[in-house]
Amino acid sequence: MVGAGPAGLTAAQALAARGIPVLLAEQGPVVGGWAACYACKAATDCNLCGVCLSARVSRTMQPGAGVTLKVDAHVLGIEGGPGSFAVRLAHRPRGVDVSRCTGCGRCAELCPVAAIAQPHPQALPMAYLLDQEACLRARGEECVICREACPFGAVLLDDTPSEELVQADVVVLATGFEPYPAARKGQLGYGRLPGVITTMDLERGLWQHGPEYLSRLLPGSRRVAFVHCVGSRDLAAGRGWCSQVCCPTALRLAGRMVRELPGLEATLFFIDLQRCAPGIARLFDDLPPEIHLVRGIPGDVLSEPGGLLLTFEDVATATRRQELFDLVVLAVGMDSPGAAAGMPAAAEGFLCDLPAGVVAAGACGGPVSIPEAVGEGLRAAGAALRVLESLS
Amino acid sequence: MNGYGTALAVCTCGGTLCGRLDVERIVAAPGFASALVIHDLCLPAGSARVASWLRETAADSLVVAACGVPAAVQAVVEVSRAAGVAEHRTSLVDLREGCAWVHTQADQATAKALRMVASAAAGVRESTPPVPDVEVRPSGRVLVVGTGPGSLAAAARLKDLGCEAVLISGTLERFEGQAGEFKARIRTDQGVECHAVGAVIAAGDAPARMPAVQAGQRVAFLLEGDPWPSVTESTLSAALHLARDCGCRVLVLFRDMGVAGRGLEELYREARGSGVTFVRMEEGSLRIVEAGGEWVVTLEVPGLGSVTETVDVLVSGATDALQGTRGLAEVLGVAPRKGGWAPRERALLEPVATERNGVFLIGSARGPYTTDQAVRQGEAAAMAALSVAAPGVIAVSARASVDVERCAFCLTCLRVCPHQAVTTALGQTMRVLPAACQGCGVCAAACPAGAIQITESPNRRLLAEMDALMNGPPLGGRPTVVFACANSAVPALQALGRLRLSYPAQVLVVPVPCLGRLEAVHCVRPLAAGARRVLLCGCYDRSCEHLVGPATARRVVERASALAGTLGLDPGAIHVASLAPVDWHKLGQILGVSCDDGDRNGGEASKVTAHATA
Amino acid sequence: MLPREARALPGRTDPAWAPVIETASGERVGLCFGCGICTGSCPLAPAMDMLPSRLMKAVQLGLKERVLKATAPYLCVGCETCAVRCPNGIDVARVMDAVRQAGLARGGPVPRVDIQRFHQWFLRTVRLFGRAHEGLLSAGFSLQQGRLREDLPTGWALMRHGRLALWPHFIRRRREVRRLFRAIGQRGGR
Repeated sequence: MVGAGPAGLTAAQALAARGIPVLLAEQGPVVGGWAACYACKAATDCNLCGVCLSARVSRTMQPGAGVTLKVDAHVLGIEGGPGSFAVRLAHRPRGVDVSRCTGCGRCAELCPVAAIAQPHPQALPMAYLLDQEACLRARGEECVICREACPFGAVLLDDTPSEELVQADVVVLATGFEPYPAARKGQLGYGRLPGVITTMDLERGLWQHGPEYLSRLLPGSRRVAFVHCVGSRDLAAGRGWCSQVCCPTALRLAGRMVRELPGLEATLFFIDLQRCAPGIARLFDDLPPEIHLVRGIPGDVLSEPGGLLLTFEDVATATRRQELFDLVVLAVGMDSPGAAAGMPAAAEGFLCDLPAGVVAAGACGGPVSIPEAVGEGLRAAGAALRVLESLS
Repeated sequence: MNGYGTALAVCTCGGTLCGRLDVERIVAAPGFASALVIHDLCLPAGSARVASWLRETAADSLVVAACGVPAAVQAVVEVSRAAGVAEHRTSLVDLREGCAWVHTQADQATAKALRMVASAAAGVRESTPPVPDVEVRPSGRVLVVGTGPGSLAAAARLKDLGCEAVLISGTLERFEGQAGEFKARIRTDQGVECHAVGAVIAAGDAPARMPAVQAGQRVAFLLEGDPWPSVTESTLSAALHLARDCGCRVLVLFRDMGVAGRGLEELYREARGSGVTFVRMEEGSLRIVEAGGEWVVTLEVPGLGSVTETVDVLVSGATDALQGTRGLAEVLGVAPRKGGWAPRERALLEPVATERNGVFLIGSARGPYTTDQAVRQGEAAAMAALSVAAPGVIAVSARASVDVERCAFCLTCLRVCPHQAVTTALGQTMRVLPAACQGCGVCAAACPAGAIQITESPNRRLLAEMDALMNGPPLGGRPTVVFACANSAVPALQALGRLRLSYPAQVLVVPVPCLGRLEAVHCVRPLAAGARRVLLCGCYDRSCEHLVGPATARRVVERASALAGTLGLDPGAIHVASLAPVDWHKLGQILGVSCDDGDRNGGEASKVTAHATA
Repeated sequence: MLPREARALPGRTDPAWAPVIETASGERVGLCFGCGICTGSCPLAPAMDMLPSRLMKAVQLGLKERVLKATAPYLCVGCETCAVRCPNGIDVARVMDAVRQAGLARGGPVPRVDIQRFHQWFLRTVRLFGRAHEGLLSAGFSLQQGRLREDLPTGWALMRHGRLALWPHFIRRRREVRRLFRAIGQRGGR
């Protein structure tokens, strides 16, 4: 199983429950994928974004129980066929022995440069992680404070990258997605103008810092613009698909923001509002009056003395307008995660037509919401089981 | 095991807790037959030591004061197994994330730790042994309802996985039982059929067929409803075929084009490129007049004025297709009781499952899904159904049980259970179906006679734990009691701990499986014992796994506040709050503390990203 | 907003017209899904009576009369910002050009006579000298439009600053340029 996001975790647990031994390789330091750093977007009631579904799937990931979890492990290559796959894994040095670290935090308390810390407050494994570049040893100093401080002998100061070859009968790829690089749309100012962020930045900031993050983003008079379809429905940019979740996400984030910051006005700029990410039409029927919907994607984001100026067509009234905003949030689409160890991919990069014995699950096959990704995990587990049964 | 007394094991997490808690005082807590201090419970060496010590003490119950991580939970299970102590007679107290890491004053933290330990001890002494496992014997048969692509995909995958799919063509009339052993009654043209199945996968019917249009005619499609992907898929496929292959002039009038589904934007683009003309009905006035067998369509298009076209055929997009499946959802027991969308919104948080174990809704029975989505869901449901319906024997332990002596057969539990887990049994009593019960405790709270109890936490145990928590060394202020739902507040509390974000030691936490477990007496008792506030922290209405938790909690709080008033206590001291498990900031707000980035120790999660690339 | 007389024209759609513009421009007008980015990017949009994305919709619907009466295609300067940003890869400026050509081919009054004349003076000087000559262009245009009096001071100031040459810059192979014009004329262009 490659990837421990919602799809990979679900597939791993489903297979383990049927007695199949699973090796779950995750390139990050913790499980959960992108969803592990998304915020709750409830306003007065839950908005069914699926973040806590993903959190629950992560939580029920018990150590042992048939799933061997390897974090900091990146797949270099997959060779062979059903019943005889050889997968080459590269291990990134974490600096901490995951099987011995209890998360007590003594090392972090004493580290003079805060180079060792826990990567996530909720996701497993809870083992700490040593940032090799921030560590004093990178500068040649012989600092061993963390290793001495650790009561469990879990710090590995000489941890080096290594490779490993593992055998498998079936391979499940659940490598997720990459957000569209918004800086490519130079006219929207991401990476150039302060005050232009993406929905991914907003999710992460809100998750990590809470409502205080919103106050920091929008201190003064508050007008926020959400620009949809950045890197989606854009054949000219090589992204001719709808990423499905960005419209509901923008609506939810806007709803949360106007609730947290009284006086905030939010305007959403879209082409076709996907407020029916299946079945949730009713959720967005009663939008608060502070949320304005404009059909028409802005052409330019310009920095003006009064804020950020957006030039757009209000298609519903066929007028061309310009409006000032304090914050512009770009709803970026979901790209494929990039070459998955030489596996065949469609023109857009999403996995398809995979060889026998290899199954794709989740966003690496095309954009999906979190609940759909969990479903994908179940589906992939069934497909993998089918392969295994045909082998025996 | 014949033994006596409760044993206490305290883990100092490698000694790191010693600076924050007075471990010696905790080890010397009254009421324990024996006590031990260790440093590494979650490592094999440590748990082995605890196991051998426990065997020597011959205790019959065990309280472990350590941390809350899965490894510690696992260790306690192993220790009790190795030492022959029944699992229900053990309790793990989280002194680390739940106490030492979040309270800055060591004396207050220690006082709270002593209360927590005493509470756990009182709890294990009131614990009841689990009900003996019941054997459920699924036959490997799964009922598949519906004739669409989703059902066919589910049936095919079930067959691959070694199950038998029973595809029915009639109407489902009755459906009862529990996951693994359902009984379904179906009415067909030939009469009535009865099937015994382990699970059911219900889908809608095959998608709408192509409208009756002749080659060369002028057609207008009218999409007036919500931008449902299923409607988009069927409309665009039809429009494309008519324009490209039948030489028709095709017009599509719509508001928003719902392309949220794999391949839909591509289909839309193909239709646009094949000569289908799309016009938005932007809050405009659409007028359709019938004139001599033709339809004259007039539309106000913004910026272009009035636009008119005459067509031969007018096709309306399907709206509210899900109403047709409401009847089916009711028979399956997964429709909302009072009106509302069927299936209920909470179902949307699950990919295929519903609140009833073994009942899966896919495709158009679940929502306006496309063919591709229905097929994927069908395959996912087949895998999910496998766990409850695969041929074999499954041992299920009932998480709730009925005391037949007390049961008055009022049927309240049957009515309130959100999971269809209570049924009537012989002898005019109620029975909990072990494979359906999810242990929320709503039935236990609702039973007027207290006849139904959750095995893990019978009422006597909960009350004993609460009383012990309320009576202990001074905390530096009047306590605030927080009833924490296992799905939301408990994980959020753990996050506060892992981030070392401090809150007052007067906050005492009582975990419950769901807020629906609580009755008015549970809320008032802490007030009577001197608490300043009582908070019920759980999920939101739409995210509650047991559906009724927050609503039940609000009713209970109303009753409890009234009760408090009559007893001379503060009626405004009991509150309900909702949060998500990942929203520890909200929990901080509720507890009245600031959750600014705390210690350097774990607070700076930004530096070490959770999604680091190689 | 479209002038009243344009709006009053019957809005009957003509499904046969859109393919004409598509062929003439070489652009797949049908692919436009009305996102409005072209309007949002167009520097001339504030002055247009029919916004670029509305014009695309009008072409799709075959609203020939209204489109040919609009002044918007004449205001288009061909900066191609719309083409760069269109998510469907449509060169809206080329469509504008095709609409202009369609209007001219049909004959009859042109929505912006002044702009049309300006174009003609430009082409005239190119055909005569092989290169554009601002002097003859501006003088001729100014005369034809009857605004010599207003433009004379500006013209004089430009000449004084060396910005407006009286004498044209001839190229060496003017004959080939004239041949180009003749060939285009023979193929029906103008």
